[in-house]
Amino acid sequence: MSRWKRTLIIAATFAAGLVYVLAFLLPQEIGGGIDRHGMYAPWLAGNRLFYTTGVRAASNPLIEHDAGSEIVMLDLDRPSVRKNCFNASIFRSDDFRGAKRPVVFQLGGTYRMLYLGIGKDDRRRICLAESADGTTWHPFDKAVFETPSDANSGGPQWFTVFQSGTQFTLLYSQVDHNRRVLRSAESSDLIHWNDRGLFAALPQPRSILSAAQDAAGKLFFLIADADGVNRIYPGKVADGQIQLEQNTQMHSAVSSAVPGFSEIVDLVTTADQNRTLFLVVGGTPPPGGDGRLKTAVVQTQDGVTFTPIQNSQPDGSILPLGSPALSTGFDALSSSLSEIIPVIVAFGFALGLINVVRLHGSKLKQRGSSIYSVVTLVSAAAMFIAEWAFRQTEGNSPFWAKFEDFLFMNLLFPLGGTVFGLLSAYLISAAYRAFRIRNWEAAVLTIVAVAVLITQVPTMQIFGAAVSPSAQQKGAALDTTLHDVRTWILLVPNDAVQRAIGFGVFIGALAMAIRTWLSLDRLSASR
Amino acid sequence: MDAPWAQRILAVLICGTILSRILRAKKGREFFIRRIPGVDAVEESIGRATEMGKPILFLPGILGLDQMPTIAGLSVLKWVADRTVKMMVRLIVVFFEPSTASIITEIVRDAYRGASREEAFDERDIIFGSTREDAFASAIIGVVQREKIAAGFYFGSFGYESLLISENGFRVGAIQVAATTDVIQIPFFLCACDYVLIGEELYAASAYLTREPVQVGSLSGQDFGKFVLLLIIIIGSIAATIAALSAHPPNINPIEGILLK
Repeated sequence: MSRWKRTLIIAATFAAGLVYVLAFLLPQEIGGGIDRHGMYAPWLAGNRLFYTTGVRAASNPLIEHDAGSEIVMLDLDRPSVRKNCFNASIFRSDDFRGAKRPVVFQLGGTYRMLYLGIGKDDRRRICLAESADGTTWHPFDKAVFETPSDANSGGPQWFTVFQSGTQFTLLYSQVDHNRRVLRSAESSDLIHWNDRGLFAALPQPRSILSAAQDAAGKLFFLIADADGVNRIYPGKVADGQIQLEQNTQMHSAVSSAVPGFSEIVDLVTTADQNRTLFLVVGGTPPPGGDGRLKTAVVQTQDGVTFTPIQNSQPDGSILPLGSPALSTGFDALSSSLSEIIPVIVAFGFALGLINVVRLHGSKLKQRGSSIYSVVTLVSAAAMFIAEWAFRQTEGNSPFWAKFEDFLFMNLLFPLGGTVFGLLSAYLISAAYRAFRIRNWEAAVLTIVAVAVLITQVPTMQIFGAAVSPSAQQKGAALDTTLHDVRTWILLVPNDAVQRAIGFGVFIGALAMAIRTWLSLDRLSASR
Repeated sequence: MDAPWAQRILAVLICGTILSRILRAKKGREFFIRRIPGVDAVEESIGRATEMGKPILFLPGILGLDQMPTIAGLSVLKWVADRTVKMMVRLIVVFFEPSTASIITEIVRDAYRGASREEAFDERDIIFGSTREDAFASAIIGVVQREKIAAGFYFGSFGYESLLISENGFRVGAIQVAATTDVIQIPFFLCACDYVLIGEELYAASAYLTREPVQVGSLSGQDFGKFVLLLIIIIGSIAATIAALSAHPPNINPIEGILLK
């Protein structure tokens, strides 16, 4: 290899590696406004607006952040001053990855904020923070409400709280048969909650995205309709079913008040001096908009005409989002570089094909034992032709469809299954050698292996059943103990060893990656 | 999401140490490498194959060139190819991933070129098995049984074919040395192979064989990295124990929090 070629390869390798290294080491964004990535899940308490934003751009337009979400507070009299209500702490696990959807109430002389915490385990729970002045917040160490395990595996996506006298009703979403329904819980202090089960549902496929209540107690729902459009409907709940008023005038009126929102994704209400303010969250996806979620506050006097409150932006949103950050760009660049890999792999397949043809072609030339080479080349050609013809005819040709099906389903997969089946025979002979007790290490291995194997099934129960019903019961109890022993073996010593190997492999791979990146290792002698 | 700061600092610390050890090794500093019997067996196996006049099989695993176990396997292949050419033993390489084809061919060809015996290089000994594991295993079983190999070296990442290959090697009486980072395949290799290099030993094998300063220095740097991780594990375990015994919630291990935040 010529010197300049070698230099070019080393330089290209270094440059590509540098992009990945910088993408890992540098923050992806520098500076920018606190809410530059969106303003959503709002709550208005007096002249204080609480809302959620994300620390970086959402992967999809008009999507709320989960991990990396933060609750921000601002005074509408001084909207330029926006601050985080509190920071995530390494000592709190329930909002470790993010905090969103603030809901604030004043109880006596204390402010209490419920919010959706995204925990270390990525599960969403309802958490609580307290404040004496509504400005400095102190989150509780643990969540105050965790949805029942049958309701949501990952916790609710959405929740709100309605106040009725001294009682609070928490509504939260649950995914049920591919649509969102609402469940409820009740509390008198926002700390201790009693789950009340299903609150309201709509027949499939309509989903309830959010629910809101005006000062008079009238309910409004944001519904994802069957046509995929989100619409606002007034309605009421009876026997767990929502009865929606089937007019879309209200939705049209609210939409016209927020001309910059092509889509509405959330609705929150707040009572303000006997009038109801509607906090509408939405935006416009690209190419028409920037895909960021914005919040508008609209008011109505008659329930028919809706207008944005004073000083709103031309698009209807209450405030402009923060100034954009300076993007380092290495993340996007590294993603683009990764897209080259499939191209290299595609070239690699051509090399593999050439290798097969060259290898078996030369064997055919030499004659002798070339029957396997003939079979290989004919099979490869048949597979290629069958798949090519099948795709050319888009599966419409019965002959090619049948031929392709025969080769893959009746020949290739059974052959593969046969090879896999050989494992069972080999396993027995390998296990026999492994479990021969030649020294004390092998003895330990054998005992542990046998223990794990026999506790895989209720062995004692089976033996007990052969003796008497009481022996069967005792056997079942013994099986439970043995099962615990098995679990301990697998989770403690076994896992510990696997992790130890994993750490070594990780460090080894890191060292090898550095050497490769800096071209310190040279595999080929043609340098 | 940006990577947590603690992870970034840890990466810089470990990588910096590995680089500094490499530089020190290049300047002549000698680092101790413990004996790895499995790697010693590679050289013995080549000698045995020479005596028997039978070929050696080398497998670089089933991953592509963008994966470190493959690169590590190819580093060992380079040394094995050099040695087999010197000892006049036939070396057969069967590969899974087509993207490795040209580099494997070049490594083996270079070994012949280095010994001024390029005309003895037979490209047909560099065999593309398949990108299907079952067909790949069948191809290797065929080679093992037809050629009655004297030794088999399996350095890289493997799937369920590990046992199929090594059992066949065992049946033809080959000395087999396997090195893999795949935890699930290690027991299968242990059952059927004579020597198994576990996990990171795959990355150490090349340094042990070649004694090149870059690789030896890097190996020493790896040891420092493991020491740092061990320290974190010990501190984390103590912190987790204290947190678990704490009477007050939330019983959080701060070390875990620092590493993830």
